[in-house]
Amino acid sequence: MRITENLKFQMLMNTLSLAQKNYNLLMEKMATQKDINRPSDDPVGTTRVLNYQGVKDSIAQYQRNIENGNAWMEITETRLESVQDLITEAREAGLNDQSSQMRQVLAQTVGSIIEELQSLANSKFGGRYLFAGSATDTEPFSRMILPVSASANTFDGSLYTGGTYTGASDKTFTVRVVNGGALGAATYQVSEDGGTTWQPDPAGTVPVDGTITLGDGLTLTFVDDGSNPLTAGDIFTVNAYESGMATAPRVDDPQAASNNTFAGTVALDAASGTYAGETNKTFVVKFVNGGGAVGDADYQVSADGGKTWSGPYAAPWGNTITVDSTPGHEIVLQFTPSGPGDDLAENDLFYVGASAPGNYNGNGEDLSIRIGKGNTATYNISGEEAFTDRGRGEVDLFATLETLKTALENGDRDLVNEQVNQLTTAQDHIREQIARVGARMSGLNISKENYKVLDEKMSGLISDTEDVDLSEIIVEFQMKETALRASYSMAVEIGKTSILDFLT
Amino acid sequence: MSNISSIFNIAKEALWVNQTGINVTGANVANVNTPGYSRQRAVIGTRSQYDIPDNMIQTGTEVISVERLYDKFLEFQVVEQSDQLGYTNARKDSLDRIEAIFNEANGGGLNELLGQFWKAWEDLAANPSGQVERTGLAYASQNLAGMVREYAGELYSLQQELNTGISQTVTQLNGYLADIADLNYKIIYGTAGQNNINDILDKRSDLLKKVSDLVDINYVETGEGAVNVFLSNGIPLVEVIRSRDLATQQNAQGFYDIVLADDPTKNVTSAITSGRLGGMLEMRDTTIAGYLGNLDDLAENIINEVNAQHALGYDGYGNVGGNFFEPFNALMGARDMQVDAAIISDPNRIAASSTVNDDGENALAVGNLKDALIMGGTATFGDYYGALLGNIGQTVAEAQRSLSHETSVMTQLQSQQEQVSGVSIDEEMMNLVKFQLGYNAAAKMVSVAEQMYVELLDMLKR
Repeated sequence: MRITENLKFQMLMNTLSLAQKNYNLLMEKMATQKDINRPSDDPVGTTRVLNYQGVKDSIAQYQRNIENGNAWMEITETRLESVQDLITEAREAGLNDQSSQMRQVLAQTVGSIIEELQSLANSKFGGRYLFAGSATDTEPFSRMILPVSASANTFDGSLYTGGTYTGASDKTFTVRVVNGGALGAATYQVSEDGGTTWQPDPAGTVPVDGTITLGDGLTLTFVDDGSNPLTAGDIFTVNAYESGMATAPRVDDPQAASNNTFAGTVALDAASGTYAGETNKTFVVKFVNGGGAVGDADYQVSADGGKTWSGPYAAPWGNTITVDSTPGHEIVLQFTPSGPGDDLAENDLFYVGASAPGNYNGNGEDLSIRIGKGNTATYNISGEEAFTDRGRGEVDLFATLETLKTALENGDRDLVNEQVNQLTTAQDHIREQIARVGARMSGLNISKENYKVLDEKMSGLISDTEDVDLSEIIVEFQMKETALRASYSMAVEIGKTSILDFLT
Repeated sequence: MSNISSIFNIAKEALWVNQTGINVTGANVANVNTPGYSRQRAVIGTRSQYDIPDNMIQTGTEVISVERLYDKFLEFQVVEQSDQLGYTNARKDSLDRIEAIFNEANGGGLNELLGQFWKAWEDLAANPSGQVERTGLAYASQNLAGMVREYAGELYSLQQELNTGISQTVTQLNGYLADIADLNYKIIYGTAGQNNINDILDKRSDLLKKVSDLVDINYVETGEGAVNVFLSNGIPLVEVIRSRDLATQQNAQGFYDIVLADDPTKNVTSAITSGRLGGMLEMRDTTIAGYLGNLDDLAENIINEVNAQHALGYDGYGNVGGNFFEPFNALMGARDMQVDAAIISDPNRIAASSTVNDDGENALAVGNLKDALIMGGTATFGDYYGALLGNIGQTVAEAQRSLSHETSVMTQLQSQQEQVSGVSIDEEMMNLVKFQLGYNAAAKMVSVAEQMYVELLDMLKR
């Protein structure tokens, strides 16, 4: 082999640059502590790390979700336990000695229990109401203005208060039936001072629709179910509170979405009745197929706030749309354009809330969090389920307590006993809810523990794939450094040696 | 009978030959570090003169030629290897840039932002009316869209740079081809004129290597010493003393096609598969176009899927969900991924709720897209991006491997060439000593012959 000058220096250069390259690679690894500094360092490893990282991110999200859910449920549990204590107190009040002085004190105790219960049921966590179902922005419970039928009454239909109480302070209305009979025939009188004076005099007749005026904006509605009509001597008591809420089922004013093209007004049609459903609902009307003029636009209707839709329906003749068609209780919306050409566009949306009787403004929907791939967990107990007799609930706790209070005030022993029994049932029911919350929490905690282990495992896998073994790399670094030094001194020595040194 | 003058004659020839030898050695030593220089050697032969009166042969010496030590077969191999090396170099250059764009190792990459985007949806699901969560999601989605735009934009500008580079390379190539034709002319006439054309031959070899570095060529040497250069599909680029220019012409995609300058209808782009130009064309038309296509695909699916789920929900004002991202722009692709202006200006327009009552179910449903097998029905968005990244890494690693392989083949060939053509100082020094010795001996011969004459003349004087 002929070794030429260029070849000699080229070989030296190659050796040097190879030594430099190895040295620099190790420097980078030492600085970053990572084996993979760019995808080409280990393409398979890179993809794998991304996957592991993705799983790790998901786990972190699930863990955060579980923590949020757990915190929510812990608060729910304490609140429900406090409710249990309140119910126990109320039951004791019901079982107590019921002399006439005692009864008033007990009634006041029950009154404050109701207030406390209300504030518990309206508890918030992180700015959201615990017991409002999925309507977490709505305060779920308000004080109820409840009509109470005395236990000695013959009448066995139902009663609702209606209207808005405008009185300046709490007041008790007493209604007595003067002449018995069917609605439209029976006569009544109302007292605002505990039975001392009675209005009107002579007694007024109960109208056919069963609704009589109590005063201060309140009405009382008798719903005769056809078995035992109003009988002379029947007594009804209504405790009215400031900012209290009438118990009649109601339909709210229709709301329009802000994006709507339609600029006219939407109101409940005169043909609308009250709401006859079991639970609170939001009815939604959405226009489809490009919309059109009022009375001309196709539409869909949803009874669950817009999740599922029925229709589309062709526009009815006229300017009204029926969203709930329960006979006698239809909910009908009336559309009035602001002027000619004020048309409904596709996706124009109108909604109207409808509440069942009582004082609950939330709904019975679940709130859920994601605790795994395609795996969600419910974490809330709705107020409907815990404190009302609708949907999955058993006892209307507020109504029971209000009745207990009135019964104590009126000395209606039988009614008190009845309410105490109801409270026992309520307590059992809430105990069930507490147990459910506990079971969910322990389930979530197991998941959380599993995720903790999985997270550690993922970290281990990521570290195995992309992290350097420092001790190994330091030894290697020293080796490469030695090699680099040797290359340098060799290069200098070889470069220096020449035949010219020997020619004279 | 021999005569003294013929001794002078021979000595003169010997002096001249050795001097030439020293000259050639000098040239070799001077060019020891000249790239592309082939060492030369004085080819020395005997020269016979027939001495008529004495009827005998006188043996003198002469320099027959100054030979260029060169292996044509090795040259051919080096030229062949040059286009491979040029090709892998061009690919490696671009791929390194691409890899830098897609670097996830230091955080803040697309994968991380995609993760934050999904996280923001889940956070919103946990607190659907929270302004912090809504604003957070609006920011996370703008970050995501911005990063997709940035990645695609950088790929796109790399593509544009390559396009400009291709046009410049064609100009450079035309210059080399013209130079080769010019050198061909000099070689043909130089050979005819018996001149020393070794340095011209060296220059032409160097040019052939440079041309081959740019584009894959074939070449043949003609009898008269010229080389003809052809494209891989046989289209001649240099014919003896005439070169043929290539030119660029914009195609439907707005990129340059390579055509013949004298016949722009003749598209030769597909004939160029190697060399720097081949590498740049491949990067521009296949590799980068492919990665851009992948990003477009990812962006289009994210936009469509998120928008579709978003439209099933209701915003904070009870409206049906509008566009979350602006609809996919088929012309600009991923380079124009944008969050809808309405969402940016008012995060309450995010349709987090599945009912008009502001629950978080729809945000949860959008969050669920994270794990949905959407890309081709078999991969999640994250999987798809991971596979793209793996693919890029794989391609870069392969380009690195083939570059180091091609480089070592080239080094091997060059060292073989160097063994034949390179200058060794050791050798030249020994030659110097050798020729100096020969020169000294010849000089001695002159002085001996001179003494012989003096002796002869002195004899006559006596």
